[in-house]
Amino acid sequence: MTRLGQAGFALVCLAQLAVPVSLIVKHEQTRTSGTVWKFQTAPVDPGDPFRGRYVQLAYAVDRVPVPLANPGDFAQFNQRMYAELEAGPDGFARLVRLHGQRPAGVEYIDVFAQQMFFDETPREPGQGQAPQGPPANYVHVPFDRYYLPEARAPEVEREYWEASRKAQANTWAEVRVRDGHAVLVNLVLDGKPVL
Amino acid sequence: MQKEPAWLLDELPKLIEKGVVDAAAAARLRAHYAQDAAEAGSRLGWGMILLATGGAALVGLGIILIFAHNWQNWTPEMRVGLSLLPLLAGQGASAWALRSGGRVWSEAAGLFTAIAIGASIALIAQTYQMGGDLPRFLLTWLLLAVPLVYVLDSSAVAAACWLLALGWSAAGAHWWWGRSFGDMPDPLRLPLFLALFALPLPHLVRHIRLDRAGARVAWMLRTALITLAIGFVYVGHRDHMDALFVIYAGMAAAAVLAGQRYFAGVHGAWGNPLRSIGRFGVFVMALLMTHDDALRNLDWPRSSIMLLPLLLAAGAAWLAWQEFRAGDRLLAPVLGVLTPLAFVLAFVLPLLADKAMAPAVILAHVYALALAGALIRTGLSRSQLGLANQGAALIAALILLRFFDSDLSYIVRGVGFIVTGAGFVIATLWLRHHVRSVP
Repeated sequence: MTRLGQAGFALVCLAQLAVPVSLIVKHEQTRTSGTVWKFQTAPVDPGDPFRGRYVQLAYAVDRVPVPLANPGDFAQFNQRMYAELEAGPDGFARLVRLHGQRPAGVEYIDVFAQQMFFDETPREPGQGQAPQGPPANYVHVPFDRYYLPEARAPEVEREYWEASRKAQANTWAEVRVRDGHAVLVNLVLDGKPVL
Repeated sequence: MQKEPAWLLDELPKLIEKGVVDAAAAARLRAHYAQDAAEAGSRLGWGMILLATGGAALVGLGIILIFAHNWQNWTPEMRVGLSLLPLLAGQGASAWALRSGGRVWSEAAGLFTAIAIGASIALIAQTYQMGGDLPRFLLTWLLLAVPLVYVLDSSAVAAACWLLALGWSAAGAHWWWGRSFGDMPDPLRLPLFLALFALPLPHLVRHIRLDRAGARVAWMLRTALITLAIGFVYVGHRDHMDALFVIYAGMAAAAVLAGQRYFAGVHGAWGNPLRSIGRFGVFVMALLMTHDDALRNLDWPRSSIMLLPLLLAAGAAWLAWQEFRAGDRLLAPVLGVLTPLAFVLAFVLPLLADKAMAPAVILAHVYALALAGALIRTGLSRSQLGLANQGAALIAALILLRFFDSDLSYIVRGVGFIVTGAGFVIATLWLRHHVRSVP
């Protein structure tokens, strides 16, 4: 093998290691020095056969439109945006504004945003789809799955479903946030931490 | 017979590359030792490669399963360390394979490392509760694995990369399981899929140049064709599915003609997948075009995906022209017109009026019969019974399909099947006799 080949192989190995190591470093930094936020959960359909056993999570903040900090920052489909965080009176995190650029001096998380149109007029069953209404910006927070030991996952999934269906659910995800990067550190069902 | 012939045949690509023997001498050596190698050596060589790569894949997957089973017993720090362990082991094995220079171990170590890359990222994603983004995960995996194709000259990793590209296209098909956040915008999906598909192509082209008759090339071609054929289903929008009718017509025609032109000396359906899979595709398309319902419900997708059949049709037409000039005055032109004809039948004639379906179906039958005639005539002239049989099978399938479509009684259908079957057997016997008697 030539020196050039050896150097090429070494570069390939470094690149292959760089991706998982950078993931580790980024997540460790957030886990150790990020701010803790509580996100209230909501029911969801699970489905992804790939990375082992987990509970699929959905959040109340995904279902509430978020105002734009700058009305010119139109949310295209799936646009990467930055949601400013604030704690509500119940202690749960609220997304109060959507920014097109990383905001300075406030806590925020990276989200995918989408502009949708809804008519808020109440409709009777069988009346069909609502006509288009004023645009509203909705977001999807990226920490949407919670991995568990194989034996414990089905049980927790059932508990999560039952807890998140209750009207005043005392169920939330504990998330650490640092420079927009969010890491899910625990899931709390009916006030009790899962792990 | 001993292992030497197999070893010599295995060495030929390297010898050609280093200029020790030229391609013509290699072909003569291959022809001389082919029988012996098939009996002993090459079987051992390929057996070893399959065993080693299969073994590497099983070891890699087994380690992941053991990790997954005991995951909860380890601290997060241990999990992080263990996540990187398969990758480091794979890289060590790859370094050893590069030093030893053995092809078997390069393939095995390459595949093991490729699997380990995905395992490491997935295990870290699990440790840190990362959100689900399967397409991005597969894309990262593919991009990190591709260099192994070239560093280790590993065809198994090339095949794995094509399958990862296929996985990426299927996982990102939001029409399949609902649109999700983080999806790639529609207009970018086809170009990116083609770009990902192209990443291992130089490796394939290099080995086609070195040893087009080799099993390694045949395996890669098979995987590449499957990736393209299934991947095209997922890269478009659901409304673009109708384009598949002409895309598959173009792919099938181009594959047969490319197999005929560039793999002329490679015999057997197994050794020349371009020709065999392409012929199967042409056979199916010729039958499908004759079906009224298949044509009636197609809509022309007004999207960039229609560039694909255009490119494939142009490629097939060019190959057909080259084959025509080389002496194939019958089958090549018939194959060359398959894609434009499919386009006219599917999207042009139905636009004129609903009544235009009748001429469309008649035209499709004329084409299918012309194709069958061309296959039989070419098979006879080349003394290829298989080719002539395909023509006879096409006619038989056409007759049977029309029986299924019609409102005839079971007795009439039954008699029709018996007559068609008997006719097929008689035609095969006649063709066999005729092919043998051709000087």
